[in-house]
Amino acid sequence: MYKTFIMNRMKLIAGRPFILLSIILLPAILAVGMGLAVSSTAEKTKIPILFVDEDQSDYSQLVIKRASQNPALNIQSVDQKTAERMIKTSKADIAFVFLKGFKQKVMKNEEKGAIQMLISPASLSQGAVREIVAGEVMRLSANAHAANYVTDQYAFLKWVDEKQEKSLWKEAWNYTDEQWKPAPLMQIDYHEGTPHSSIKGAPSSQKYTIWLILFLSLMMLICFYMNDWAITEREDGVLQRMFLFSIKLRAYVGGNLIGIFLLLCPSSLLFALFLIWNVHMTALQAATFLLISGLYVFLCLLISSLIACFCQSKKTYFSIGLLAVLVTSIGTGLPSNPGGLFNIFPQKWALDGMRSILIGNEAGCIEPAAVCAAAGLALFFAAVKIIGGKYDRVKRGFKNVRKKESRRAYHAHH
Amino acid sequence: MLGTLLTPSAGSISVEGKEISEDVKEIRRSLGFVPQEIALYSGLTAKDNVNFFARIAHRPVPKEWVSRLIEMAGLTKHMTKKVKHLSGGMQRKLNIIVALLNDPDWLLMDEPTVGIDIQSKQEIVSFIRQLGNEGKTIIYSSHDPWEIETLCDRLLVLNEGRAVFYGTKEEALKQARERFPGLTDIPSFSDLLGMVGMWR
Repeated sequence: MYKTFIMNRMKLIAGRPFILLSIILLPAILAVGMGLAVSSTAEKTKIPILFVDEDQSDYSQLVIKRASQNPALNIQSVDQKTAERMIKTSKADIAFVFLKGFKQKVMKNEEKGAIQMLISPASLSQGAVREIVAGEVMRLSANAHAANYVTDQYAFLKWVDEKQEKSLWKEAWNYTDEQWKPAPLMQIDYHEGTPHSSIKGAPSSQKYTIWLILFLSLMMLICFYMNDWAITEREDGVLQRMFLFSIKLRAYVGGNLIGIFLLLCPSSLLFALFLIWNVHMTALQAATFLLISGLYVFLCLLISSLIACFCQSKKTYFSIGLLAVLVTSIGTGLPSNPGGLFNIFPQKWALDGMRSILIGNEAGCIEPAAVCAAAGLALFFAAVKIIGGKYDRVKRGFKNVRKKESRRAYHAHH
Repeated sequence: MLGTLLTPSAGSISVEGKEISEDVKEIRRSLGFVPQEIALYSGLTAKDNVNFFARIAHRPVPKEWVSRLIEMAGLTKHMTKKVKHLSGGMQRKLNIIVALLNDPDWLLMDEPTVGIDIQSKQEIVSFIRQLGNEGKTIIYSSHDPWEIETLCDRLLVLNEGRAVFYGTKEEALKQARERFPGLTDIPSFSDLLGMVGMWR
């Protein structure tokens, strides 16, 4: 019977192409907007760095290549004159000049004076950038140092001949370099400001927060918009017909909700796909993101169903729905949370879960997911009970009549 | 109350010796109810509506039975149209078909021809007559004397929530003549029903 109700609801919604299109398009538009905003913000906030490579060695090229992989830096390779002009005009923050003999100096662990720096007077980020480049140079230097030491020791012990020395040096160099992967050595474990995380080298989830709240609010609004069947079917007399067909209420409520849920899945999927592409999510992160989105959407559908049970008209229902979406979304977006009041909002739970996923802490979403699932289950049984009890009054009514009559009989007898 | 949608404040209702209050589910299984409103999915086709309600019916609905009902109602050509695009009369007929899907023992109809044109009304009345001829027990509620005269074998007149007359059409006419001896020429049964106030 579930399948019948699911298919029926999907057919009914598919018969309204405008709604169908809007539920797919709106989150897609939001995803594109988010992409554009995040990428433009990211470009604007990158630190402009210049490299002047006078050494033209594989070492200097390696440092430039590795530094350019840092998402916070906007790197340009220029000649000395251009670098000086750009620094003077504050078009770049800092310029690194790899002087001739850079490689030789690094290989001999004499880094001092191997790189010249030109710093813009307006630079605010020189400290951080210096560390990044210094880290890369130190990496090469450490590799060379380790390789030199190993080769010297082996040569001293006569474990290798001259021919083998070269390959041993290379092997030692590569082995040391591997120690810097996946993250540089001496990395600090930063704690991001969410309740769940302690992640190594995790990207910040802050820039996505507003978009996640928008996505969650939009999904809640769509849930309210699509989930008016409890009122429509009551007004049309279909609900009464359902009772006369003695359908299973659980299948009726569940089937209708699953039908809407399945049609909302592409929206979440589109949004998750966008995040996979933009945030470089792993498969596990994408799966947990979809799980949280799914649980959240189902919870929203149940909340709207419950509200629909108590509303006499669609007008009242949509007004309450809009108000609920506004209040919960604004509450979730506020930086302060007086007395933990906003913790009861579904957006808050979903947001916590999604942010945990974005910063690479998939385990952090277990708690929000469990809360959403438990609340959803409780609301489902409440909705079934209310629809049955409130609108199929006969079963309850006859019990009352029987009670009344037995009371009358009792009083007459005594 | 007969449709098991409202609860009586007192008294009892029994169908074939079974108290409704004892087992509503059982009574609902044997009942086909045609509500006054078009209780169908207007956004779906007539065929989709019939298929959906056939699937959720108490017992398996044979395809032949569905085809026969559609044919009897004269809707064969219109089954692929959306309900909202059907005429009022066709919608009413479909409403009746859905109530008949599980081949109920008795049919309760609440003003099934309200708000439609005369031709459609005649078609529906003829459809119901056909059902009656096939042995289906029909309880038909109406304010239209012509419908009552055409369709009903027995008559229950309700006035302000109280049953004031129950009997055949002939008995009703006889009683009217007895009450109003001066009234020798009653032109038609419809006129008689127009004088329903006489039972007060």
